[in-house]
Amino acid sequence: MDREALLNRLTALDFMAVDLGLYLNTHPDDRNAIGEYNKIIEAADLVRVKYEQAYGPLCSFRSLCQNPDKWIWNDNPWPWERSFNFLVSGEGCN
Amino acid sequence: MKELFEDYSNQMDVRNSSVGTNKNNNMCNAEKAYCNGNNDMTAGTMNTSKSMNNADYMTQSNSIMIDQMTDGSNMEYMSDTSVNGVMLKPAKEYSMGISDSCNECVIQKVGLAQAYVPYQATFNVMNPERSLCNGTAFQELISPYKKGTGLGKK
Repeated sequence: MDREALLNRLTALDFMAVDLGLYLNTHPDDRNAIGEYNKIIEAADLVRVKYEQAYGPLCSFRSLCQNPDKWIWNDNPWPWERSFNFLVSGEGCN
Repeated sequence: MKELFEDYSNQMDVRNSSVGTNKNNNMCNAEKAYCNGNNDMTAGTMNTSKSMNNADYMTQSNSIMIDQMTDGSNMEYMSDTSVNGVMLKPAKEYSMGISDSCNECVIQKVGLAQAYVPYQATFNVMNPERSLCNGTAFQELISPYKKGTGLGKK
């Protein structure tokens, strides 16, 4: 997967983790939902590591600096900038 | 403070008699019907009066808001008679034209609402990409708001 595909996948997984977490706040005994939630968290962590190894840190903290010679968080673009991100639209929305 | 409102009211007079009237006719039918059911209701009474057109209805309802904001004595308008007393003021005295008179009516008649969200009884998750696009992981919660439509189930 290229950078954008990885980022798209990670964003989607993290979003699901948030939404399933909200669901679990009101359904704390739903074993099926807990299973789904854990699957999503594990999948997201794998994608996050993969992304950061290839393209650098996603956070200014809690992310490994993969390059031992250079702190690359300073390099543009940052995650909140338009050029960093992808457009959420298209077939996946239907 | 009062000067500010009066300046604004001059600017809004045109809208009050055109756009405001249309809005009143098209978007508040349910509220008007409800409020008209009780003659004690300020807005309902105004609306059924043959001596006033819709623009008068709008401006006079708005005058309640201005009075409340400028003199700071909200409690004075809590009883029906006081509200009716305010409504007898000339319509143009404090016309403003931006408040929603239907909203005023509902607040007076029904009161401010409490939200109720039903318990989610199903667990049908979509794939992550589709969830992200739709802003929810749950198929049954997809409910985009479209301006001018109700929020009921499609």
